[in-house]
Amino acid sequence: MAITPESGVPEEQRDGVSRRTFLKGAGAVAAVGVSQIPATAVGSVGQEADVDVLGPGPVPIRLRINKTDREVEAPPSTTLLDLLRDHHGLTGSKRVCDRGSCGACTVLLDGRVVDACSMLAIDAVGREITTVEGIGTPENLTALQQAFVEKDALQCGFCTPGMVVSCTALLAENPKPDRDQIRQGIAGNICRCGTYQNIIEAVEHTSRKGGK
Amino acid sequence: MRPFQVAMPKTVEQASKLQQDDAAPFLAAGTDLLARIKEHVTVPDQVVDLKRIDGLQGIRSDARGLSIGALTPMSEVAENDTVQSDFPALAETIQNAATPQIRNMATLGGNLCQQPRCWYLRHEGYSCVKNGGTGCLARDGENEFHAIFGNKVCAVVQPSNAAPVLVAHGAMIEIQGGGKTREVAAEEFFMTPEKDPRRDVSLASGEIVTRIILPNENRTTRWGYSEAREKQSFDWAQASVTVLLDRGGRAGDHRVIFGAVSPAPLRRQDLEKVLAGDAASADQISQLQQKVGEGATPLSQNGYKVPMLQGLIAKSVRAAHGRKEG
Amino acid sequence: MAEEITIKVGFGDHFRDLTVRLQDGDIAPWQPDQQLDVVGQRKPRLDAVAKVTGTAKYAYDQQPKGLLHGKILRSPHGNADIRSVDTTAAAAMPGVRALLTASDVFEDPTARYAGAEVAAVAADTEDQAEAALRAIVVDYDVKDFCVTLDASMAEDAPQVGRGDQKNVERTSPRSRRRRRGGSGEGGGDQQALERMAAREKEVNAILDDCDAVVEGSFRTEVQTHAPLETHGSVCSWEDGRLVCWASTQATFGFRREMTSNWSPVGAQECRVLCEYVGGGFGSKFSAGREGVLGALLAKQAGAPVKLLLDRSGEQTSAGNRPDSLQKMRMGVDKDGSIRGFQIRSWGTPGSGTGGAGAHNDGIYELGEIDKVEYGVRTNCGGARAHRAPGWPQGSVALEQIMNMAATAIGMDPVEFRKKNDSHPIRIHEYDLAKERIGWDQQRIRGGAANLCTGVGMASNLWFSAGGGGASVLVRIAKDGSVEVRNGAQDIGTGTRTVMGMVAAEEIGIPLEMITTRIGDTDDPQGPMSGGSTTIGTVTPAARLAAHHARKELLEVVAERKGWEVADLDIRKARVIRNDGSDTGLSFQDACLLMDDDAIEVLKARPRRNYAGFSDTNAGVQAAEVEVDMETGVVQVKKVVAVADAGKLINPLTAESQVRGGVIQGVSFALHERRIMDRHQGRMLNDDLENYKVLGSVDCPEIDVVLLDVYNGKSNTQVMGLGEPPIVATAAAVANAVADAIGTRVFQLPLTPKNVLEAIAMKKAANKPGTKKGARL
Repeated sequence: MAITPESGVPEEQRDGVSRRTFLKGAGAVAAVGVSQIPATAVGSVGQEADVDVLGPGPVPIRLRINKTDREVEAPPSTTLLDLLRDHHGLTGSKRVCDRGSCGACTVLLDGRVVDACSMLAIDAVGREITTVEGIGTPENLTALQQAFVEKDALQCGFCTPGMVVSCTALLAENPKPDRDQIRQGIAGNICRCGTYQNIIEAVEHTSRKGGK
Repeated sequence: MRPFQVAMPKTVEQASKLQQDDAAPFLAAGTDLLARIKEHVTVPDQVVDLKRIDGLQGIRSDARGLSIGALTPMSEVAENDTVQSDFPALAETIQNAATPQIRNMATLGGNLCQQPRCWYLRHEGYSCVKNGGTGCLARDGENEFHAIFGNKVCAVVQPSNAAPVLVAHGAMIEIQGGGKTREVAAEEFFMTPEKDPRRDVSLASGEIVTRIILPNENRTTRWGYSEAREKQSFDWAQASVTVLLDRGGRAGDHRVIFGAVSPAPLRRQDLEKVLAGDAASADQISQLQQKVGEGATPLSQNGYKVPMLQGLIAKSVRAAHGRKEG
Repeated sequence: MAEEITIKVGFGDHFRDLTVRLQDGDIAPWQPDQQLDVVGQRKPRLDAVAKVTGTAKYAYDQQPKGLLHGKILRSPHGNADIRSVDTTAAAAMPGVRALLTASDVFEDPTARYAGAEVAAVAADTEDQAEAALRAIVVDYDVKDFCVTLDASMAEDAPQVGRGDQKNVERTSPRSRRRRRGGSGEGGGDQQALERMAAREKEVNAILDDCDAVVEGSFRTEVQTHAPLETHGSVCSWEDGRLVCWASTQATFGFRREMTSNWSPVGAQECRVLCEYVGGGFGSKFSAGREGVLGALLAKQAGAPVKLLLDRSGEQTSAGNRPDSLQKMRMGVDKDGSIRGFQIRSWGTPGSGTGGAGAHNDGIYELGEIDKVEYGVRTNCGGARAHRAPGWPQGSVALEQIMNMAATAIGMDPVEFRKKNDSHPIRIHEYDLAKERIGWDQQRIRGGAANLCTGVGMASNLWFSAGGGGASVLVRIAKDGSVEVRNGAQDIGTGTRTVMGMVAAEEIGIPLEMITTRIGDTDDPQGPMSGGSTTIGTVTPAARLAAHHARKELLEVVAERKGWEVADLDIRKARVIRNDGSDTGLSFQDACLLMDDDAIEVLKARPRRNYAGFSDTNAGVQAAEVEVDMETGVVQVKKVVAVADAGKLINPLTAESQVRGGVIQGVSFALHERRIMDRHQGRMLNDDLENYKVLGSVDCPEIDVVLLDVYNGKSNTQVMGLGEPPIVATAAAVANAVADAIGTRVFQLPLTPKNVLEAIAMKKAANKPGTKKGARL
């Protein structure tokens, strides 16, 4: 049932139709597929162009995740978070509140933090998505992750991926944040175990060493 | 989440028509709409994704003032140099709102059009005057965070903390749809339940907010904004007070706008008149404080908002007076 | 063969000799003059790298092949019985693979609160499961409800329970146990009532005789646990054996619930896996209805099912700390001695009455106590153990009335506490806390100023030396690898790391050479993570097993090298002689001398604890707050937490435990409360937006001072630290707010509303507290 990244069928082979151009000329660079275009919706609006209507069934969605293009089929109503977790197996981003209140699903969209639970995956098409898995690996931790480890900036660990992503963005935008700026920078991430102070220390430590 | 179709218009007119035909809600960033769909308080078969319409994003200045595309993310507004220099109150309120993540996602237009955060309205299974039923559940229910002014028909509070600042600046909301473009003053844009309890803002079906215009003629360096809330990390204001003094350098052209205490931002001309006197003095502040509660009709659990407003007006007036004329 | 030894117990300048009789082949506790290489070091936790990279797989992250998604249908009514459930349409919906109703599974299928489980579905996708739930037709017999303490205690309140259950029942003192078929409860309760009346009279007389009597009525609100990972599991039946990836704080308890005779699941065999848990705080001891439903849906579907609660289900149905109403009168004499204390307290643990007690009569020497407690039924989700159950709310009331008493006799609150405290450790902690918070600094207190600051203090007490119930397996392999295994879970406390450190210390190798395995019921028995006893239960077994594994290895070395085993030791991964000289043999080389593949030693923890230095661990906390008098907003600026955790194994993770307790305590003090709707009886803030959990901007600076106490209670002498730090925090904050604003807020949380209302009350009344109050 879980669709692996590799299971995406090359686009040209699907239905024998290339769907790549359907959004040509639109604001966003699009590589979204279409399937089940309801006849009522197509061609019903305006003269200048057809309006693309996706879903409600699965459509191919190609995203650039952690510097790799990956495509799966999913309903267009799928949130970015569910697509990452359930379709790409990237379970580092957590589903906790599912309403944009807790930051456990924080990912970077073109380098800036967003709550992956509160946007549609198709709205991330053409943008650079970075999840915690794309920040550092167990064999190659970033300086910030190393500082998290050393300062014990985690307990149960469930908020940790979101915190790491938020703090990574924070340091990228402001390499020398003061304490208040760090607090504000993670104000959208809830930690229930109570690691805020350790996280602040980890960010300060990383910043002092000029790391990211 | 209940599956739905996503329509992707490329023009405002296409979007407008889609909504008129199918009553499909508009999706800007989705931070509000997706939450409502997950809660089953909005159950659309189709949503109209505005993200691919050109020209709805970005900030530009012209002779008239600052023009902010409705789909510009909140963070972009707050970080914009011109917003910071010419409309600092707006930058500050937005910087205080929500979370870094939400500010990067949510758009200014979406922020103004979001559904109020009333927990009856946003829970499935409650029916009230706002969603097709009758009466207001908060009035004799759990109303700690609800309105103390204008709450007879419905006690929601306008949730956007940018809204009072826009009203104070005399911002204009540009609206397109049905082949027409119109502008409405921010003060008129937010609906009161007395006018129409079903609508939060004055948009007809098929109408889209396209731009928010902040006229230069109402700029001022003498501003004060203060709000109070339970949590300083991500929370909604329980009350806010925006004070602008001598707008456009016109002596005595003041604005006092309350936020989060009424269904629409509340302009207090009576307080503006008090301010029209001298510079801030303890006497003037206590005069304002005495008048703050006039017209308030607190409910069983939200009477505290009156003393809270008394505190906030003092803070905002002190801040505005403390700032130099620019 | 019990050996009697004399050990040193104590801390700092306070050591004494203690003779103990070692039991069950135990080894002597570490001594103060002993050089330790690993224990006492600040060691990053062993699973930190997995957690910071997002590679740690929680129950929520398990995605076995063919996974189905389970969802629970919950009653929307405040109080209902279920007449019938029609699942015909739902069962025919696309993707539906299994469907159960509550009455299929549970003995009590009533829906006594909004959120009660009615049915469950497993389907190919979450959306399909959700759609199927909505197609289930339920005929509810809707009844009146009570969802707050006040509503349930009101005179004409609707009945919450069923049968002859009363809304309010006394839970302490208890009636004498009913005799089966005997003369009934009347007689037993009559005697209890007489005893209570006599006690009341006696304490009233004492209070009448005191120099001052203070009284107060304190309220705290319902706090949900709100762990970030919700309750539930991923269940899969593999050849008749149930495998559960569970989010639990009791792997073995979870297994028992799946396999016991009384279990509706009735699995013959079950393996519970739980390498990581996204928080529990006391709410995850039981598999819960969600655990049972998940296992049964998987069985019915013949495929793995993921059933972890959504946030609303978590908030409404997965436990909470009950609220409290505590009415108190305290009598003191001018010299500062407390002579009498009267308490009447009420709390709402859900539709039952047990577990709502507030621990408000401990910690200090309180003179003669007259206390009566009541459980109040409400149509709300049931309480579960919540990090120091009963203590934080009890402390909020007790510590505030302590301050009121001190004020009444004009005594400094800290001196007043010292005067009434006999704890051998805590008595030394007050001055530390006082100094570090700057107790005597000049502060702007309540009055004309817009920003006021204040300080407050409170104490805690805990009982966490652990006990029997754990075995640890230590395996030293021929290739030099060392594995330490115990099947219990690590809920974020650092148990895994500490277990590894103790074994490393005992074997004589660095922590980095050790692999730990936890969270698997196929490994040796371990305790639940409760009562802060995990570390005190697991580590003595780990040390004992490691001790014997090392001994066996040295016997091999002695035999193969012709050395004297009594002259050998291992230190820093080298085999050394008693005089400290190196034998030239590394640990790795020593392992190679084995004939067998490995040495494996399984040891259980000795069952009983020794007398020790103190049976309890103690702490003192001081808080500094800043209150905006214009808005009522409270900022906690700093909390000093002095804590005793017995022998410190890993100060780094111990500090984190204390900081975590303090943060949850500040959150309880400032923000947290369940809000129930009077119209439909539902929880209105069943999310993380309106249910407010402390965030980074509201987090104070936390200054942790840990005492290293050789308490002698077990061979590792460690005491758990999960719960004790949360006991005092909210109370210290409440006292600090009273200090700052010059009046007391009797109602938690200390929201702008409650603070502004207290300030307004003071302005209106402006009268000091009465000296002698009315009877409670």
